[in-house]
Amino acid sequence: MSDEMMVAFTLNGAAMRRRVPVRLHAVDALREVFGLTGSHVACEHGSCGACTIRVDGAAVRGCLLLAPQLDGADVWTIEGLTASGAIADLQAAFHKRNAMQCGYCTAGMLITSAELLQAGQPATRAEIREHLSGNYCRCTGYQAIVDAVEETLAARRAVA
Amino acid sequence: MNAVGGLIGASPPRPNGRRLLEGRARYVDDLALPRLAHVAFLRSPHAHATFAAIDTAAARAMPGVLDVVTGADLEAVVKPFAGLLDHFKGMKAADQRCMAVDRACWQGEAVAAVVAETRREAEDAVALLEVDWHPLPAVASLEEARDGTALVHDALGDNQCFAREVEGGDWDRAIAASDHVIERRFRFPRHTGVCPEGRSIIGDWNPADARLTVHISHQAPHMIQDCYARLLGLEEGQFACSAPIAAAPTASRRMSMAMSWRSARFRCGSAGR
Repeated sequence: MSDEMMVAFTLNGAAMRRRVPVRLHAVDALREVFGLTGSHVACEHGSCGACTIRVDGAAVRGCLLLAPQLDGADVWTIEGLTASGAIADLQAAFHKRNAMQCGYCTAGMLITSAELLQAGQPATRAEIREHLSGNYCRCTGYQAIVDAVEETLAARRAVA
Repeated sequence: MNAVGGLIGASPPRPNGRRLLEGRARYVDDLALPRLAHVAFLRSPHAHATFAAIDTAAARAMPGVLDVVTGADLEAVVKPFAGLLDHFKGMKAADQRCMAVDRACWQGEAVAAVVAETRREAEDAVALLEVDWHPLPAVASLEEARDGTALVHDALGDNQCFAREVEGGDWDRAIAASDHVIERRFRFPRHTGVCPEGRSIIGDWNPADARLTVHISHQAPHMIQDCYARLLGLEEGQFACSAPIAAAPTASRRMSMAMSWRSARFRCGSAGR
């Protein structure tokens, strides 16, 4: 068996094709092979959510996928979601409320929150907390994060 | 409102907030320096054990491995240190080395390091290091530590690091005058810092300039500069410490190349550093 494999996928809207070690986690591939260090590596076993990326529309753990599993997928990281403007309102709400401290969990928080916002359904604070329950913040900033998601959700629904 | 433009009482957004929100913040593990090698450690599986020679041959033969370093190798380039605080009078601690020599006195103490081109190659090679362990009686509870039947460090005479008595009021009178006296035994769990960003450090020794640069996730870079300069026998001016947001330097100096270590989360409970 070869130690490496060719993967072809869409990364932040652009077609990518690269040979990657098969043992590499998706998040390590994004960071080390593609230079996208906005996704962070923390627990490395699916508990903390710091490595959350968007794959085919869903928020998933970058440390529980192997790099070859990205083959054929539509992958978005915090860098691409920022450049596209898709979560600019959410980022502005986080900024206004200082819903980040060290920033290590922030990309994961934003991508998981964006998944809830994308669904377009109303959500109570309890439901927002439940949706974010797989993302750990050890600076203990959940209150402001829930505030920011709630505010963005209300604003989007008012427009819709 | 006030003379400084109404900032007091206001909640302005953090000026550096956007980079944290846009994936543009720079943490230690985000840095990729030229010729950056990666370090992984073999750690003691025993709380207390002596060990004889470490067989490094199989690890050295692994692809990507640049060097295998033991505690004895490092004694030539870094001094031992004692973790003492001047403001705790009477505190005592044994000399500690970057990596254990002959004896490990806590589970997770590093005894050998593999330097490789990638972190994965370093980890693979660590698994091939062979150590002949001779476990010794360990001190695994406060009661055992107090009883002192086994000592962590023979040279200290007992297992007590530090004692301080705080007295106030009249205990005997207060107890005698109490309607109820309740005695209970309280147990407190061990606390440890488990921040999402794993501990990480890059040491970059440049022999041409005789200068060491350390990138570390740490809140006291000046203390790091002082400590490392003393332990490595450098002048403070030969040393720059950068804490981008928040043991590789020694090996870096030995090998004259930049070296990175990032802790693996599954070891955080035992490695302790």
